Amino acid sequence: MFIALFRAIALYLLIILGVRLMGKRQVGELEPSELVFALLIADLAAVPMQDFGIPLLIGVIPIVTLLCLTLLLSLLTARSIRARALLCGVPSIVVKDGAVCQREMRRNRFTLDELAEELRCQGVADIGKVKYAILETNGQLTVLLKAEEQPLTALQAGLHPPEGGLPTLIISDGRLLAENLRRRGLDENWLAKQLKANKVKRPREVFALWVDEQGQVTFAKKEGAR
Amino acid sequence: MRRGWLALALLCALVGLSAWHAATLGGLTGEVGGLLAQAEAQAEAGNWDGADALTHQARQRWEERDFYLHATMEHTVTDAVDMGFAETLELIQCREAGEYSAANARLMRQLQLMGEMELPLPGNLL
Repeated sequence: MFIALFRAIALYLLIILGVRLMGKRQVGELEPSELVFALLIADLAAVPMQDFGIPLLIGVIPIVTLLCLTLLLSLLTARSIRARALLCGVPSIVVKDGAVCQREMRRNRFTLDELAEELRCQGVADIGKVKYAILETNGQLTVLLKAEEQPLTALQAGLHPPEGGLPTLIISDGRLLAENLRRRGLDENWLAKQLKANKVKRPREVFALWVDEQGQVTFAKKEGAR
Repeated sequence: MRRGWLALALLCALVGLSAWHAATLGGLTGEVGGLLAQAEAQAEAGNWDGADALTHQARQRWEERDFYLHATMEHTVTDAVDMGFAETLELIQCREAGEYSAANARLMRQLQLMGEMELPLPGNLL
């Protein structure tokens, strides 16, 4: 029992470390080497976790080895264009000027149904509106509409809306984030005024309080707080 | 880049440790096997006490590395060697020459295979 407990904890922590070291990307955006690592790691950990006849080390070594190789391949693909093309592939243009590139579709084994579905998912019903549709190396389709089909921007309309900037969280679930307050150049007096304006006495009565770069405050009172 | 160097260093360390492990295990199994071969020669000469002492010495040498062996080898393999020692020592006590010889040969072969299975030989790799 103790061995099962210890092994499960050790291998679980090792896998978390591995996944953490892989970075912030979502599963759908993994590089091939990272996807292979993700597929193998669970199986590698499960065997020594259940079979006590196999030393823990025998389970740990392949995981650490794969982790090292994945990190090295990730670095290689980040530094070398040729290695990136070899290991991750290159993006393919499957639609150009409203016409389907059949050769690229065949080469990527991408069907017309899949293309139509992806376009619909991005709100494009008519392929004729598409300037380029690019099948990215992570399997996602990037759709660039023709200039006349693109939505109007504020700049094109000659408008200059104020820039809100990045909102900073000052109070999170009743806890004051003093470092964020200081970093935004604010102090306890400013906070006290905000609390008073929102009819609360203490930060612990606040669920969330954000302030953006323009000083605009977004406030949410904690439910049930008196 | 620091992570890359770390990963490379870790991989090199793993390769180095694997080589050290193969060499250590080869040395241990060779030494223990050698003692067992001497014990068999003593038994063939009729010196059962000498054979007993040498087999005990081999077993002690083996048990000194018990933790290391259990941490690095499959337990079925190390347990088989433990059982082989128990069987061989019992047969020495009984002065069963034929059966002792067969059990000792089996044990020596087990040790030899154990040492060989960690070597980076094409047969093992494939």
